[in-house]
Amino acid sequence: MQKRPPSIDTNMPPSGDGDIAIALRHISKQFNTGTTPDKTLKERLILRRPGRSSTILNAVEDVTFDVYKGETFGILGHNGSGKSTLLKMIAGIMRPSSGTIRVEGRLAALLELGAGFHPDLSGRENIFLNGSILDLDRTYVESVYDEIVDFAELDEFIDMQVRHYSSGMRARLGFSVATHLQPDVLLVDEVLAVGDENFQQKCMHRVDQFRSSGRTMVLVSHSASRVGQMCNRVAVFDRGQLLFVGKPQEAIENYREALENRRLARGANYATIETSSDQPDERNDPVRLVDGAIGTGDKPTFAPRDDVPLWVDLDVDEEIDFRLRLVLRNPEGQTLVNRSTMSMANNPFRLPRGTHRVHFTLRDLPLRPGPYNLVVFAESPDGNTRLDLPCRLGKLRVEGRLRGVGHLAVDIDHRIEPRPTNDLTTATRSTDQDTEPVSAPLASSPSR
Amino acid sequence: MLSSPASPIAPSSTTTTLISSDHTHRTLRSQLDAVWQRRDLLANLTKREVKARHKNSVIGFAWNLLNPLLQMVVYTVVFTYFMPGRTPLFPIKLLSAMAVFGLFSTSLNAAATSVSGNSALVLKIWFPREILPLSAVASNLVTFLSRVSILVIGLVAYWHPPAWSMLWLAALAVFVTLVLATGLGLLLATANVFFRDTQHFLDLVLMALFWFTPVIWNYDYLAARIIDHFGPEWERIVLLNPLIPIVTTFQRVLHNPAALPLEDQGEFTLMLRPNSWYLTNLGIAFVVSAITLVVGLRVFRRYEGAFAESL
Repeated sequence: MQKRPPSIDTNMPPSGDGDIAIALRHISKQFNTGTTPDKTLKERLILRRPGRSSTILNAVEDVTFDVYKGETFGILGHNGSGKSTLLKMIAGIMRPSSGTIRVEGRLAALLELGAGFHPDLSGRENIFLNGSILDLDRTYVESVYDEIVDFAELDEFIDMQVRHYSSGMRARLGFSVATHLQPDVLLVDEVLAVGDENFQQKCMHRVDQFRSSGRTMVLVSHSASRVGQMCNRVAVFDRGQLLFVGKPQEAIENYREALENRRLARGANYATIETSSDQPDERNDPVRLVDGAIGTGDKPTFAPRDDVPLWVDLDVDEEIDFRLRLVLRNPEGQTLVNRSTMSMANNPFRLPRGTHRVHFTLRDLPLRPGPYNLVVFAESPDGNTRLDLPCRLGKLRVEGRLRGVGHLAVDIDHRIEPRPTNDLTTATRSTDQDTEPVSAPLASSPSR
Repeated sequence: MLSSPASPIAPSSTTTTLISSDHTHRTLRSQLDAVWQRRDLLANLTKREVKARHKNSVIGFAWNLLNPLLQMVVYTVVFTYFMPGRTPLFPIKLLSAMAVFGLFSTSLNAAATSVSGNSALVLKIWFPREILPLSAVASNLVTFLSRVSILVIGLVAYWHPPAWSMLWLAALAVFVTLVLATGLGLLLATANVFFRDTQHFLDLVLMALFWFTPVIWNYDYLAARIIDHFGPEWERIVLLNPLIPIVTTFQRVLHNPAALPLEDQGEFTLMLRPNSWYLTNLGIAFVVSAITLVVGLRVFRRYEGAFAESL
């Protein structure tokens, strides 16, 4: 552990401030990305052209926040937002270009499950080696050894060399070791999605235990729902900048917004039809989607559980059987709706040559506020052949206020009554942990 | 702003880690302190190195013994039958020189690749990085000790007594070797992260050093010639190579030419020097090594923060 230097950033809260587990002050990190890093002297000295300029990438820019003791803190950001770089700096693996980080207590990082294992050593030897890397004494590791092995479900393999482990086994062992060794602060980088469903459940349970033991956890992810489920507070990153720190649900809205802006910035223009992109003449599709729109006004904005009308215009060159497919995704790319007209009408479309307009209505769309993308395309009746490039109808906005962090806006009522004496029936109660005990509908009406 | 539940904190370590862009607050002292605090890890990583080295081999640890034994047999056959020399007890002389030179070259090699070769650790977990080159050197000390046991067997087999009264000088020579190998190892480990040429370059340098150090030939061959040509004060030039005092001390103690029959001592007149001569030269070598170590530690500290980005 590094000793405190005599001179310390004056902006730092005094050490020993009981509440803060991790204090970050004005953290920046630049990478020199002019070219691929030169690894040999020849490349560095001989091939270095005098005029060669290097590009500085600001991976993290002037980030300041605190993580309090005992909280589960989420860091949410898309790929390349600097969230992993930040985690590596907190872990002490990378040195910031400027700024100061103070970590109170022993820290362990799960930056990649199963990393830090020596392939030539057995699972048992690796557990002890890992304990020693985390600065734990042998007697402590011995006392939790059985639990670690049990949890990782590796009893009969524990004396086998780790090189013969499957990646799942390694991941299980890594997770088990890191969470049983009880660091004061645990950093986790998108690794909870390991193993089969069963093991994931165990992991989540284990993480809950870890959190309820009053220890601090920092979870880095690009999955809004995971962070939303687990964290007390969330920081949102975009292109190295801290956009937001605060409550998970607001953070998620910020994050989805940022994702959407990024997509727009990349030049994806939703109101246009992709067919018209490169070589329209080369495509000779029998059915073409030429135009489409969501809603009736100019802004496709709705409240949760509104009906969403939309239309598409078709050019039909050949009288064939086909069907249309609607796909609705959230900004993270998760598919929320994926239906074809066959499942609505049981019959394929067969339209005479000419232009047609098809109207759809998505009834009572129970979506939480946020931007969504809607795509329509034509395909053969068996669904195996796409007849046209997808027509992106663009952004559909749901606005309003919703408590909770899930994908859906669902009204949940609840009532409390004495438990029925009959043992076979269980009491009905709300299981949504994010909710407060109010009897009003949880998804309140839009605040437009 | 505080939205976390105020749950009780389990009593645990009260360490505070400060991470900043500034590396200068890490003094030499704190660097050594950090390593000392993690001596358990140093021991475990050393054990890991030793264990893993022969993990998949049938005879395992015996390779540590077999390797120098076979090397010695080959050299002895070559230098007693193909190119006969007149060195009495050539195998002992060779083995004693090879043991200590081998300690230097293998630990330097291991230290130079210790950071780049352990990128999985360096990229995942923080611990004082100095531990990596240190454990590389330490694990080779284990190998060295096993090789010394072969030397002991050889001494018993030839019933040749070492210079008992000078044994402490041999220990000092080993110590100087370790300091020098660690210092250079820290420097080369740093260099190798940024320039992978370092390890290839090191192979060449070590090969050259092997032939410029009296491992196979005798110290007298070189020193006598220098003295003849330039005068006795020029012997110092030869001793500038810090490995020469180290290797000659080790040979003097274990091969112990003083215990040879008088007619066989002719090749070792320059080695039959008093303890003070050995002590002086080892002392100079030690000062050089200690400076190297300090420079090595500082350079390592200076660039340690950039390791993760370059691996």
